[in-house]
Amino acid sequence: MPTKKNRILFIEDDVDQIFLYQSKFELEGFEFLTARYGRDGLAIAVEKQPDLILLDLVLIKEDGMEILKQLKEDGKTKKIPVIILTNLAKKDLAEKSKELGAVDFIVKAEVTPTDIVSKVKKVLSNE
Amino acid sequence: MNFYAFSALFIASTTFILGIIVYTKNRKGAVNKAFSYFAICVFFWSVAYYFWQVSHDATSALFYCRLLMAGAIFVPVTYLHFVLALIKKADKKSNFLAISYFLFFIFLLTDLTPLFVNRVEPLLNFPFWPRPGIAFHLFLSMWFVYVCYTTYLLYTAYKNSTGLIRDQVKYVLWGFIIGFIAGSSNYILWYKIPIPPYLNILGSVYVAGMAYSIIRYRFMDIRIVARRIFIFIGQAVLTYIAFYLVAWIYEKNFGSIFNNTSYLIGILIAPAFVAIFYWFNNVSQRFANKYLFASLYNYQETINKLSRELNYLIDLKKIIDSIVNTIKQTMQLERAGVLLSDESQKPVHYQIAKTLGFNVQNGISLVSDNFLTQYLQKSKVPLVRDELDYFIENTRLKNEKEGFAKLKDNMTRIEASLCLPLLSSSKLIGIIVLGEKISGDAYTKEDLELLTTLSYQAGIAIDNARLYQEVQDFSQTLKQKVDEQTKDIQMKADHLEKLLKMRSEFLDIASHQLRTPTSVIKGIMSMMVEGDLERMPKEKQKEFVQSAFEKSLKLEQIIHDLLTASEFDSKKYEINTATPKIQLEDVIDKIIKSSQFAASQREIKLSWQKPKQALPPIFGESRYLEEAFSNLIDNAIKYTPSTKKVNEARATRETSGIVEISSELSNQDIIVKVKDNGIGIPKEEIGKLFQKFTRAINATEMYTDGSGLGLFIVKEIIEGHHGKVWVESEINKGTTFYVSLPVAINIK
Repeated sequence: MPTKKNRILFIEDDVDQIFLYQSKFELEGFEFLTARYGRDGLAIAVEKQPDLILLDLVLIKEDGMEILKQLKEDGKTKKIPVIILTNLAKKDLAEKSKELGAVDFIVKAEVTPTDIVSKVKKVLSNE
Repeated sequence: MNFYAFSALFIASTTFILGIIVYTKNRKGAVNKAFSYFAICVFFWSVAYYFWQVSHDATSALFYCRLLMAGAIFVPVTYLHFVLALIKKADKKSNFLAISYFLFFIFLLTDLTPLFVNRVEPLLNFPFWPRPGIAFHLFLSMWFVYVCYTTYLLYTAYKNSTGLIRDQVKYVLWGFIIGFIAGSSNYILWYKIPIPPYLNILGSVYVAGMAYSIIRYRFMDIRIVARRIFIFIGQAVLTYIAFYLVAWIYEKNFGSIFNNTSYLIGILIAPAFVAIFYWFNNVSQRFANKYLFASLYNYQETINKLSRELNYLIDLKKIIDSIVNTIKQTMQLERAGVLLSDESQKPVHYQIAKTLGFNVQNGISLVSDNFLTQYLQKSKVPLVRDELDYFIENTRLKNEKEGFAKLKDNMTRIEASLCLPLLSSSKLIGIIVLGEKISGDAYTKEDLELLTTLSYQAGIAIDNARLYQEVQDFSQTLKQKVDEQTKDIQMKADHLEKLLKMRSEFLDIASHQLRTPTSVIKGIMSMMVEGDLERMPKEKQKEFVQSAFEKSLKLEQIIHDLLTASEFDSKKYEINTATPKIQLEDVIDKIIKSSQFAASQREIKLSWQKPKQALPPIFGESRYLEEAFSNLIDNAIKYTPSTKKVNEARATRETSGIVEISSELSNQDIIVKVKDNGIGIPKEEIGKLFQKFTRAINATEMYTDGSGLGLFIVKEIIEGHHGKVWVESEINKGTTFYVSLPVAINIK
């Protein structure tokens, strides 16, 4: 158990998923911040400096790739590891997000919440 | 030789030359023959006249007097014969002519006796002037009657003719009038009136009149012969002069032509003479062409030139240009044109390919003149307008007579003088239409021969050009077809590529939309399996299960929408003759019933103002219409926030939701309104609302998952029923969807 709670930021537009992953991560002892809009997510990332960001690609009228780019361009957020968590399973998107600096590309439907938690833990332990 | 002897010889020689020219030109022509008879008489008279004048004793003078009268006796009747032939009445008046010949033959018999020329005696300066017998007085009166009558005939012909013929006749008429006055001057002294026949020499004026008419106005069509004779005489004169010049020089310088020096000089002179002769020949031809016969041409050269040109050309337009220009220049014409057959039209039309100088406003109605084309196809020879009168006179068939007459009128109207057939393997492929010559001259036989030859060549060239063009057109068409098909294939390929792109896009979106609820269901289930759920409060556990259930419903809905949309994608739905008549109220009733629960869950008042009177039936597929109305009514309920937080309805507000469905009949259309007081649709998004995978931003905010296909499906179904769907909306106030469907009688 980490002495200090790891802080995760989840940028996702679907409230059902927010409900699901928030419940899971909080059960696992994480501090779980959420944002339904990319622009809110960027602001929270700067202010709260999370240890890791889970980013969806399909947001309401926003492109998750664009948010990733901005996170990696901003000096205050570029060190924060980003995992793309999406259901848009396009190969070129996975490659592009890695190029932009995402540490992983996870297709939600292919994994369980537990899988995601362990992937997050692994990334954090490598830090 | 006295003046009178000379005048006789002069008349004799000029008459002889003219007679020979006229006779040799056309030995069978009635006019030519009749004129030769006349010329023989005049010649006979004038030769005898000469011998009378040079006689030394009374006996021979009397003999020659009687001999000359033998010629003179037949002058009036041969004159009549000639004029009748000229005005084409010789056949009609053949009896009259025969009687006349007989009459003057009787006078000839009397000429053998003293009844005609009684004796000769000195009179004025003449030692042997004839004295008349009793028959002579009768003869002289007949002579005057016949000459005057015949001249009158000629005068009438002059009066009644026009154009070229009038000019021809004019000079012949004047020639004869003066000639006969001159000739008759001989008879004055017979009656002891002391006026000597000074005028006799003017007897040959008729020769001049004839000659002028021949040369200037192509009288009897013998200009060419006249030209040849002119050149021939010139050559003869040159040879004659040269011979005597050389002989004179030889005699002066060498004494004889038969010595060695003469032989040597002769070797030089002979080629020099040939050279000079050759040069003279050219000069005289040029002179003849230039001053006497301006429109003459070199027959062979013209044909060769055109042949060479036609051989090089394959372009139809250029060939026609070349033909028209060559003919127009060679013949010195005012107008020339070519009409070509258009086989694509039935009956075949002859259309203008090129005209020069023709007045288009006169309308070249020869185009549709079947008689002409039939005639040319049959006769295959040039048709001369001036000859049409002759045809009209000579044909016995009434329709031919009319045809020729109409043709003459048409040709006169468009100012055409000649129609030449253009033949290709004896089929008429066109007509060359020519106007008058600039000079006003008529077409000679030689012209017609040349034109016939040219038109044969032109026909072949045009035919070749047309074949070539056909081949070109064919290859052009082929190329076009290939291009078209290539384009078609390209279009199909583009379309396929577009379809593939659409398919891959569809798959991307579809898989995303399917995965979103799936991932939630899977996540919740995995947590249940892993025991996570048991570590949560009861309330939350219930929420989890509810969420999984709703997501599974959504999943089903999305699968359904995807399938329906892809069904419409592959084949647009449209009502047809097999589509049944249904009551739209029944469809709506059913949807209201099944939606009532969802509405009450969210405390939304769902009302259906069913019309009191039954609506007219429509042609419709209930299954599809239920789908469409259920989409619209579900949307209205879904995007109208609830006043309380129920399971699925997250957004809450104070105002209670209302969804109203109503219908009305407007002109043969049933209009159904689905009205809510929900979140509304942003104005800028209404335009693309009915497109595939399109959701309004505020709808996505409210529910992130949704197929984005619902309204696309509605539109496909309603338009498939020949109806329309449109929307009015105000953000945060509400939305009204309108569906208009035609009543059954409206559709076939």
